[in-house]
Amino acid sequence: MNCRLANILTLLSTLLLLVACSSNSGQQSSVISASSFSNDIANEAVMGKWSRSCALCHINGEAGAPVVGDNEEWQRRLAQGEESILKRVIEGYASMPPLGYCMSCEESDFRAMIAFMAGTNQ
Amino acid sequence: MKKLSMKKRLAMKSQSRRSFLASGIKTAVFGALANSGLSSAFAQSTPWSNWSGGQKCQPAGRYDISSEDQLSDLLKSTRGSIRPIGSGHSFSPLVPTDGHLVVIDQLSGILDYDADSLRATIGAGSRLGDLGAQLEAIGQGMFNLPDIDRQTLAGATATGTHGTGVELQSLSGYITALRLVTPNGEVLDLDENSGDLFDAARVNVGALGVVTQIQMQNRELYKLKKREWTAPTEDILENFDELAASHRHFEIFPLVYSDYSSVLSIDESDEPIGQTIIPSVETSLADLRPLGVNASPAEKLASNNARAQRAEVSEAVDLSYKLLTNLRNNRFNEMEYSVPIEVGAECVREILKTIYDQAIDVAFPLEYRYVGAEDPWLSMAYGDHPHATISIHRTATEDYSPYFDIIEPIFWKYGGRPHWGKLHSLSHRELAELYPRFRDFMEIRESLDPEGRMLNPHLRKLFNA
Repeated sequence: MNCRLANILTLLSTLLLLVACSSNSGQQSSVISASSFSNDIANEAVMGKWSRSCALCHINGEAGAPVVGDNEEWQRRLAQGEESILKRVIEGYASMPPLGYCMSCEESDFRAMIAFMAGTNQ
Repeated sequence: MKKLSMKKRLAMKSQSRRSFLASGIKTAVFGALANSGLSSAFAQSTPWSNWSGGQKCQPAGRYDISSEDQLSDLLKSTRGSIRPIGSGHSFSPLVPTDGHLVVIDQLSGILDYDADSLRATIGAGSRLGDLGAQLEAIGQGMFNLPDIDRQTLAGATATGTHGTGVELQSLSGYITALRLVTPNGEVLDLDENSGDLFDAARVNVGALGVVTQIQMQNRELYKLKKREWTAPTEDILENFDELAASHRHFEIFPLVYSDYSSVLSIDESDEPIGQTIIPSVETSLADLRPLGVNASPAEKLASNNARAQRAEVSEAVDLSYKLLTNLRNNRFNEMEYSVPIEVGAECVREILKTIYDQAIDVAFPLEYRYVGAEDPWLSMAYGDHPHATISIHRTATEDYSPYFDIIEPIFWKYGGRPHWGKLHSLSHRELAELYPRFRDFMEIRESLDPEGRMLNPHLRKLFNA
């Protein structure tokens, strides 16, 4: 757990930078998009939720979770279809529990989080 | 019973209050990211499932709470059903609702602490796995912890979740004060001077309101030494009382279709942190089903015994919170009952024999341990004597019903009390006989929530409401 905490803090500056960038974009909330995660912006509220849930595993790669920013791994998963990924997040898949520990998340939040981790919203 | 009008604020002003480094960092980092409003205005809210996927619902929406004031205002200004939610680790249907989910994971971190009394006031939405390092930074450690580290403090205490140790209590037993926002939005600060309401609220199954902060009695930071090995189950059961008394924590995982158990002892240690004995080969759950589901019980017995005999000792020293909790990546469903320790071993024997005789297809070991006596009314170990707890598990992808339906009556036979967060089929009739203060809890629930907005179908069955 110490390691996880350390890594979270290590990523701090990256997160804040990303949040600042999304805030500067003027978009206040993510929107549901059936077409592509690239339209989904991880705003401040979404990043707060991400830090309390997805980050538990997707920073360290716990239980085989794809690490945030590992573009090669995320592209391999995105190739399975974005809707398939979203379904797995909401219903759970392998070691990942349903909703990925984000009890406050709606589908639009998950879309933005996936886009953030996969780097498709940049 | 004391009336609710005796509400009092925590007498914490007399305690030394210092800002906590980790909490400060968290506030600086994530506070800036926090949602300032409620996130419930969705025409079609995303479906909810618990950790195992065994419980599901379609909530009307989600309230993402960022402050106690916001929560209080929300409860005052809205009507309709709500269910507070932690991390979704309850296997029982405590959460499913067609109303709104109340999420409090923004109410987290250490809010205050006192270095003399070794107490810390903690946001109830904190995950146990995050608290260890934060408490370490102020020189404190929790007396005991349950197995799974992703649970929130609110969820774990609401369900009476416990660790292991005949002299140790559940998390709820170490609560010295808590803040409860009632279903009508009133804020109650409760401690030992609050009498009955405090003993009801320490294990509350989320039926009395929403707990937002909890003061825990901790101790100085400490290290533990964990030792794991295998031994014949019968040898351990015959000497369990002595073994439990001679170790701070002692439990066994009786292997099904085997004469052996995996044994775990944990004691305080001053040795350097590190793995002191490293096994050359580790046995996993998959190793215990090498013959497939169609193998006969006798074939499984021979195979599993051989594997158990080859298992090696493992031993490690670390800070308490790093050894007491675990990250569980293999999702499962679970049933757990507590029984008087005098009949615990016999109950384990009957379960193992039933599995073998009826050739039940299960590979998960049982779990058998003692928990110290305590005061919270709905605690599995409520009363003057320690209790033995016995758990059965099934992987999340398997139908647990055939197995659990056969075993549950064995728990009843031995006077078992169910764990609130784990699967069981009891209603208020049986529960009132098992928990001496159950009817008193029902009265308090009724007084705090006469309209039943905290209830869902499962809780209505539990409380005859």
